[in-house]
Amino acid sequence: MTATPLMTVEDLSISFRIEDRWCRAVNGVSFDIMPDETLCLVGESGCGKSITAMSLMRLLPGSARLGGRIGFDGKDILTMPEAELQTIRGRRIAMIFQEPMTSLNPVLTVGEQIAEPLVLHKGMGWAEAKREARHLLDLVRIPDADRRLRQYPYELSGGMRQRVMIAIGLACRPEILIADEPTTALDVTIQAQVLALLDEIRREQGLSIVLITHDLGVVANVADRVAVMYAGDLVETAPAGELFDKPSHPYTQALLRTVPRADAAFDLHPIEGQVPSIQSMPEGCRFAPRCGEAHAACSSPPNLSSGPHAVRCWARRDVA
Amino acid sequence: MSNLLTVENLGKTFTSRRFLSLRRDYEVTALRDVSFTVAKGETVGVVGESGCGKSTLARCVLDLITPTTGAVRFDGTDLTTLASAEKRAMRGRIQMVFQDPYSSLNSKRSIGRTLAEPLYVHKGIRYRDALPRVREVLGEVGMPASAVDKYPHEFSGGQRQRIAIARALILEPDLIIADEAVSALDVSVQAQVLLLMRRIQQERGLSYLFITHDLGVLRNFCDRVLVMYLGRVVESGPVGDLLERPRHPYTRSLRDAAPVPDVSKRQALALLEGEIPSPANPPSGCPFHPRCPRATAICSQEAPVLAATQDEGRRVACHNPE
Repeated sequence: MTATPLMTVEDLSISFRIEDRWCRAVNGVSFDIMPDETLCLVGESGCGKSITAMSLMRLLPGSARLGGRIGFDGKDILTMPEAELQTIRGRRIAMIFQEPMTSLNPVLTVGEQIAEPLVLHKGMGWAEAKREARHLLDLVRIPDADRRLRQYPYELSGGMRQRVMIAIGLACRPEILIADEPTTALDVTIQAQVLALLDEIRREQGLSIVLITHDLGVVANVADRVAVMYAGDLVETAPAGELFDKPSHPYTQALLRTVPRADAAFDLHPIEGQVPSIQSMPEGCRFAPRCGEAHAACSSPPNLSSGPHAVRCWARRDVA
Repeated sequence: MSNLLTVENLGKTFTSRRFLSLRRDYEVTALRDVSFTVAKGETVGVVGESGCGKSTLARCVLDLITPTTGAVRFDGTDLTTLASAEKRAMRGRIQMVFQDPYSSLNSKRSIGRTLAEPLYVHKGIRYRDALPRVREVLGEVGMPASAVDKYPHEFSGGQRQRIAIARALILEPDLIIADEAVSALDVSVQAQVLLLMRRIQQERGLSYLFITHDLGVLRNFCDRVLVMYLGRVVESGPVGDLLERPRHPYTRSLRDAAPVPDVSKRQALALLEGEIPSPANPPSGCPFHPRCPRATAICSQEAPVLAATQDEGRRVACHNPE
């Protein structure tokens, strides 16, 4: 890829203070977000994918200690003054969340909620913003837009609510849309509709999507590139085709063997043990205690190799 | 194989009374004419999306909700007509595992007390006398005996679900109803719990009624499956055959919408138009007809019945099956 990245995350680390000790929830993660691509951050609970996504807009609570650099438009999001950040948040980088019922305001109409960012960020009048909101509902394929604009979130189905969330996210025509488990709460037939919609919009509008998910099936269906996280480490990153054809990190390989597939019955191979708790992370490679290939070198942390297919593993220095 | 559970024409209609209103009460038919059997040692899956009635079905089989019509026969006895004392005795043989191991375990009660409670309720065994059995069942689900004095917050989601399974096992039931029992778990832990449930089944020969929305889990855990849509069974049969050659258009849509971790199958993600109708206001005729690519005139007028096909063990409720 020769295009310049829209956003460059370099050696991002996020720590929280728990019982008088700093605990690293995200441990030196680096990746690029390229124009017009869907990048999937995938991993299990507690792997740090959601807080990584939050940090891209510096949405973490003040108690979090951040390290590294998030380069966007020549500046560092992590050190930018709050006022300048407000010109980016919601405007050039937008975010949608998993549970649309809790992230939508129950006492405002759909129309008011879509119009609000336009009024706040673009300085539109309410009447103009409402007209724009109507276009946005068309964009997310919600039929009968005029009636829907006057409705409240409780009057909509789960799939409709997620479409409204997407419309709010897209209101200011952002360059990057961060979607944190946007389809996890939806039924599969509705999930397929929402994923297809996001992909269509990405192509029409030319934006980049960062999709956070735990579902490898979803990843295989939408991702251009994938970053696999485990216990705060980015363990493998590769173009989607390559990641599924030639998974290289022992964790990625194990994860693919543990997912039950609808298209075939096979022996499930669980990953023994559990994800380590944030307060007692292993010293070296964080996957080593559950890894079948761990050896002496794994007691010190490996680095992510370079190249488009990068792996963070002592046993896999030769793949990329 | 003899049938352990026989469900015949089960129906459940919830009535909502409008207080001080002249308008009529309104009714939601959550289950309509559901019939199936579960053999000894068999795993029957129930799959469907929100509002299809799969959880109502589970609760009706346990008689946690009294069904409006139909019969639930367990080991030859009709549960719906039993007196309450007999029903209680029967209930020890049917146990349930719920979806959320965070809310289904009492957070203020030690694991030992939680596991011993069914023994007290059903057999009058005191806590001290129950402890050896509690330790034994903890070992069976791969938990240390020291868990007895701990509380739910000290365990991860996967461990809690093992404890919930231990609670279901302690009375040595013949049937376990698992309502989305692995849906809240991470995939690596999900596979651990599924393998545990399968091992227990092989050791004890018990049966599962396994409710799920995940076709991958269904395919890899169940023997037979019922596909439900808006309170009805639309298709049933052996799981592999049914998913490979679906006869009902809804089964096909459900299968094709389920994402598979394989980039080469990316184009296959087929789109089903429209949304799931509300069970309070179901479409006329076949409930699936407004979304169905194969619908014809008759589909909006007449509901199809679940009928046997020429394939072994396959039944489908469709006017125009594939």
